[in-house]
Amino acid sequence: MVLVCAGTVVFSMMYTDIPPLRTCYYFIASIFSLVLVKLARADSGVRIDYVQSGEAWAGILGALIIFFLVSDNRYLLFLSVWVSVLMYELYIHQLSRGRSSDRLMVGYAFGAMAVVAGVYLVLNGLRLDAVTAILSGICCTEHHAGWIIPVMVLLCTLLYAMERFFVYELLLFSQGEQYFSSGGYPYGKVKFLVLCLRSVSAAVVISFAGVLAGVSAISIMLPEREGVLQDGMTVLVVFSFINIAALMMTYLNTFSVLAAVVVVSYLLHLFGGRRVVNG
Amino acid sequence: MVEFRDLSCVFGARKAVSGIGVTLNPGETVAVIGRGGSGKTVLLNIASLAIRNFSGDVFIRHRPVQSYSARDLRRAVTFLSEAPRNMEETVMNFLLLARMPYKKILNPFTEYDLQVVEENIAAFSLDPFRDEQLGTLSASLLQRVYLAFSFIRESYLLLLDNPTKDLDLDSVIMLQKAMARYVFDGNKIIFFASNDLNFAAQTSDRILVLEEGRLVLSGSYDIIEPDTVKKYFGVDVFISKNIYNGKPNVHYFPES
Repeated sequence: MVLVCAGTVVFSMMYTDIPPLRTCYYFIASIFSLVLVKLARADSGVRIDYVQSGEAWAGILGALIIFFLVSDNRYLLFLSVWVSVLMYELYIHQLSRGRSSDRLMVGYAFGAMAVVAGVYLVLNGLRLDAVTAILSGICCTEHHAGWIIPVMVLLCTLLYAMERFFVYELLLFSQGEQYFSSGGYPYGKVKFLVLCLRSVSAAVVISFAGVLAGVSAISIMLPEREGVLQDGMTVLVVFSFINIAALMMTYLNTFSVLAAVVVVSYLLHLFGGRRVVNG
Repeated sequence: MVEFRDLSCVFGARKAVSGIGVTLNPGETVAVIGRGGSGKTVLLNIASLAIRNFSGDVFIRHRPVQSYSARDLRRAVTFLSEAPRNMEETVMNFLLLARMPYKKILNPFTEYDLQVVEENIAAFSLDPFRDEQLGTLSASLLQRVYLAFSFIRESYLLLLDNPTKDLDLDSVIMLQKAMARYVFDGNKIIFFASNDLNFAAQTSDRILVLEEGRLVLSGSYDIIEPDTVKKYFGVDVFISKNIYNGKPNVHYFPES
């Protein structure tokens, strides 16, 4: 896997005009997608990726609206993605009360709504290249201040470390309020914290890789083992997929590649992500 | 010692429990029986503070239950009335979670935590299923897992609601043994609600009978008599003595 990953990076540096900085952003997005997968342990039932859950669509829709109505400022767009995802998370958790089947259905419905809204905005003057830019990571440009990468690396390391330190607390949280409270923890406060962390992670993935990290649904199919090595493998798998998709975007039609990535993401989930769940 | 003093709880216009006063002593196993809707589960919910809109007092070790912190209360009282939400979890991981009130934050589980989990895995014959997901287990196995979870908590007051639900005969015997071991050292109390009169008679030191939220009868297993069962359950029964321990065995007449 390391060789495949290194191969995609070397290929993109030698044979394409993808800047190395963008590859760095893709790597950061891959680590945050791992954090998302880990935080998904806090949810019950079928594990779902950020594309299937509707978070990606909520963030992209928020960015599209801000881009169309307000500004193309990258920081503002990142903020719009985060706020949209957080609002969506709060709404969906209130609505579904943790039932993963409901979350999945709402995610599908929200995906369809975002596509319809996107088409409407394009028909009313939104540039198609703006849509592809947002879908492939609106913040994934070379125009950022230099502090972005170390801050992001620090943040994802911190979140990953937290997940590893609090793994049993997260497992207890996933069992619902009665179980979590029985451990002597404040359920409401921790629920809000988990939603905030999840929305920040999703916002970073969406902003730096758009829907390209949607292939992280593959991690649902990987054997569920503990350990830094296994987590590293998951990051490399996602990073390789993002690199391959980015490479394809330089040779093929960008919009087609993005559509293909979304389709692959849903297919991976449909055929690999479902588990037998009693009740 | 656990004391319930003049407990009452109203749901709408209905009195779920009314004026209940009971003392539970360390080392005791006490059963509460009664028809459906007589207030058995409500009483357990009040004892664990799962229901808070009640009048009267609950004292655990001479302290009002409301004075306990959330963490201390869960060390003092265990009551699982809800099934877990995450059925993807493995049996082993789920059972470890029962020790969370004792786990110090950022510290791993202690050797003792793991030992208690292993003892209860053995007690409920769950070893072959330790790596199975909860969602793949049968109802009987799941009930054994929930029971093991409650016993692993090792709280002062263990509350069980209809513990024999879904259990096969073999599992009922495992449960009886686990209950006997739990109170053997005389430091803990088991208080359980049951619709199974035989199980209540065979397992408990004392039986409380509830009717329409009121405590109408209390005593040892001797109170399980044909007249009592007829009066409070409306069923004609024949009662024999168990040849092993002399406790009552209730036989039902299908035609009654």
